[in-house]
Amino acid sequence: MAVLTFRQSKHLVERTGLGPELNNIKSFEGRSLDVVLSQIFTQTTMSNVARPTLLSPSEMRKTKKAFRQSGNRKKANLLYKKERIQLTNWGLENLLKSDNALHERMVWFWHNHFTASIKSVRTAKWMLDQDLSIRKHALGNFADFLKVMTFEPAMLIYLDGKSNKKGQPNENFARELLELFTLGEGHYTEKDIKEAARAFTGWKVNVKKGEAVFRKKLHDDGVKTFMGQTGNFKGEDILQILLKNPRTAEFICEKLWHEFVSIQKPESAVIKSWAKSFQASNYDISKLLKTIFKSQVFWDEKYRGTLIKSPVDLVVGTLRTLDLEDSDIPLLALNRQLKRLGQELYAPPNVKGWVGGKTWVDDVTLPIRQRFLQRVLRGQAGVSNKKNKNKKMMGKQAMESGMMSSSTSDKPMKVEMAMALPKLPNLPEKQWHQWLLAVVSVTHIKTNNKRNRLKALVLDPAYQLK
Amino acid sequence: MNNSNTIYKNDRRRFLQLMAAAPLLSFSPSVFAQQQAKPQKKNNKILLLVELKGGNDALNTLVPYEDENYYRLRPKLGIKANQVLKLGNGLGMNPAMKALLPEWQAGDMAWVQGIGYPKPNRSHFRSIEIWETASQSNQYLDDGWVAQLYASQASGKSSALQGVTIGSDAGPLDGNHFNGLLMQDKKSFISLTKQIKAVQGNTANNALSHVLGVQNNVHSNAQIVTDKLQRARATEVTFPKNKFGKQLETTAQIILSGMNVPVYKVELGSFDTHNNQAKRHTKLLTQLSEGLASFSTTMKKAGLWDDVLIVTYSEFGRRANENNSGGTDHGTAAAHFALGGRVKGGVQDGMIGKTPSLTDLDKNDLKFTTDFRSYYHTIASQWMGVDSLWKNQTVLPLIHT
Repeated sequence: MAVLTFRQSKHLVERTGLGPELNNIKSFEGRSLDVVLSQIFTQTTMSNVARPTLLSPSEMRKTKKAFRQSGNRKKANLLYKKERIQLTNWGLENLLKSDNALHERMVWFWHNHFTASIKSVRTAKWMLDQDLSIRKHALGNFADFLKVMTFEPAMLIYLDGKSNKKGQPNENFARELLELFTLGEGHYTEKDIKEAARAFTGWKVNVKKGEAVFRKKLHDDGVKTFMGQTGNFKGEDILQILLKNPRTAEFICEKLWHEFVSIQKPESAVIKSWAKSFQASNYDISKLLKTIFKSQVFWDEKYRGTLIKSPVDLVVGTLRTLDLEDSDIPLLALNRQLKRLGQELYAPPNVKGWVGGKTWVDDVTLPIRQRFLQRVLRGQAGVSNKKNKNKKMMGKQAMESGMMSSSTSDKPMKVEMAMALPKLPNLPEKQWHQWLLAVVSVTHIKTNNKRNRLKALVLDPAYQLK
Repeated sequence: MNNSNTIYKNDRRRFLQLMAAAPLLSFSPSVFAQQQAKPQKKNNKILLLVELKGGNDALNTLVPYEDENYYRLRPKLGIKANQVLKLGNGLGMNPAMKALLPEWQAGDMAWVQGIGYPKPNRSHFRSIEIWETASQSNQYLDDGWVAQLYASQASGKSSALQGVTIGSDAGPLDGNHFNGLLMQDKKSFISLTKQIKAVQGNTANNALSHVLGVQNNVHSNAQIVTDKLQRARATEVTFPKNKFGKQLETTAQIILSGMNVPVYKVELGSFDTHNNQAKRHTKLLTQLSEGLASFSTTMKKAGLWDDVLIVTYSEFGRRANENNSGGTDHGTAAAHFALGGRVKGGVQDGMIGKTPSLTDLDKNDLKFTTDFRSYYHTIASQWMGVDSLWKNQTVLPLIHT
């Protein structure tokens, strides 16, 4: 293609970011894909939302012990809940406010791959540590990433790695490593799992130091036969063997197909091609994504609108699209919505993660999704005097157009707690449809009133797709 | 299904009898074959919730025209004393509500003042959630308060339709164990169903097909009611030809069709008048009053007025002072009104609760004097005759027992 049209720009922004944000769409429109992609990938800023102050694992242990000894188990539970909320609110705030939406998207893609749940790990600080590692590697090198995640305390706790010792191997991690993190089901044997488990023995979590440690005494240093190879394998060696296996790259590429292209079955020739480049580049994630975003299938009309919005897409994407990330909806209320819709941050239902795709929409969740959208559209157009340095184009217009509300002069300028819809954008009618929907609307929408049009488009069944 | 053999307390049994009166096989063809408007069984109480979306400016609805602070706070927006419809005790209605003045005069309208809650939230999103689920301001509940009341009375979901919402969302009627249906409005619901089927039959997009399939499922129970409505007789009374009027007309038709649904919800909005309030508020209050006037006339003609209770609610009131854009911003406590044949209303009894102070404010907002849960407690215990979930609240003298 030559330069991006409005519609193509919207497709790229929506699929790679969090919602079809108009300022990005307008910024990419009329430029070449190569130029736009290099801009997207050279953006190194990550969200700068202040991290939550959480108790260190050793402080948490001491505190919980004290509560238990004083017969106050309820307090221990409240502490867990409090920190869990802090962590979850922080994760959500990043999603809402980060200028690097692709990075945020990939962070949650990887959370859904290298799963762990705060419900089992219990100490929020471990989850935060894992999250920060994910943020560091999300667009980096998968080989390094795999190693880091394998020995991350949250993972060792979640998948019993820390209980895996010589003579008493615990297969939990080894199984999930092969089934969920690298090869995928059907590409290894039970024996491979057992041997891999032996190789991973000896790892412990040192609560005082707040890190994972390797205890030689607990490690089974015998000979193992894994995937046809023999040696005194340690955990790292197993990972090397897995990374040499072309199936690993294919498995990741299949997942990325479902993240970026369609809920429909991946085209195997395409997957093979992506996987080959991925492995050849020594697992460069950014390079792989660039390949995907330039691929014919990514732009193919038959795959437009064939992804179903996840709860994060729906909630975060809608707020960002309507420039309401700074709205006064409490983070807790939004996290509650995500929970009701089946995507509780830091708490995937099980080690497989969130299945996604069609499972996001069913008889129970569809009405909740619609109700969320109704509530978001509830406010009246026009008022927001929240000052924000990163104020996006639309919101800035609202402020400049003088639609600020202030009380009489002798009262202090109070921040308006309105859920304001900003000044509605000035787009030709056809572009309104292209902006908000990836496919033709199901209902017939014909109105000159911008507010009604916005409402009709957001509530159209097609809005559930991207 | 409500099992009449199950042992309940006395008042619960009475409630169940009301429920049992509803046709258990609501969706059997024979019920819908009836063309005539069959009268609602006597003594089956009907509750109609009217949601004023966006935060109604109660100060300009029930106007404290003898309080000089009101005019000091609202030099431009204040309703002039010589224009209010005087109700007594220095309070009067916005003149746009004149269609409901006869109800006040007949003693069938009551006002409950200063309704709000502690630690009020001024975000539409959160505050309406609090009102709908009757939660504390830092608590998160899933089901609507009406759905909660019904869920607590029986085990399992009723097979009889318990509530109908005509509007955009069920709010207080929302709950997995509540048998309710939601429809936008008769016409668009029918056309939406057609459009969905048309697209579904014609697309290669699995994702779209899946979403539409689910939407159809969700629709299927509503469809039964709309099919019946399509064959319903037009009401004798003419309803205003606006969206709100149509919702009320549809509600009346469902009531008159003998489906014996106890709870209804309609909505009007947007009352979120940050700017240009004078004109917009007048228009909305006129629609509200004229619509409800037609509805009450219909109920009276059907001999059902004594069995009907209409109540309004909103996510919050608005700030005591006007802003610089000819409007008002999000506030807190607000007055709401109730209508019905058994309402304790009019000049003798109809002004309930304490008028919020216009000088003792909480960050420029009214301090509430009635907890909204006592409003619900009153409705549940005095009208619906069920075990209330808010027994620690006071009962308001709203209903003739």
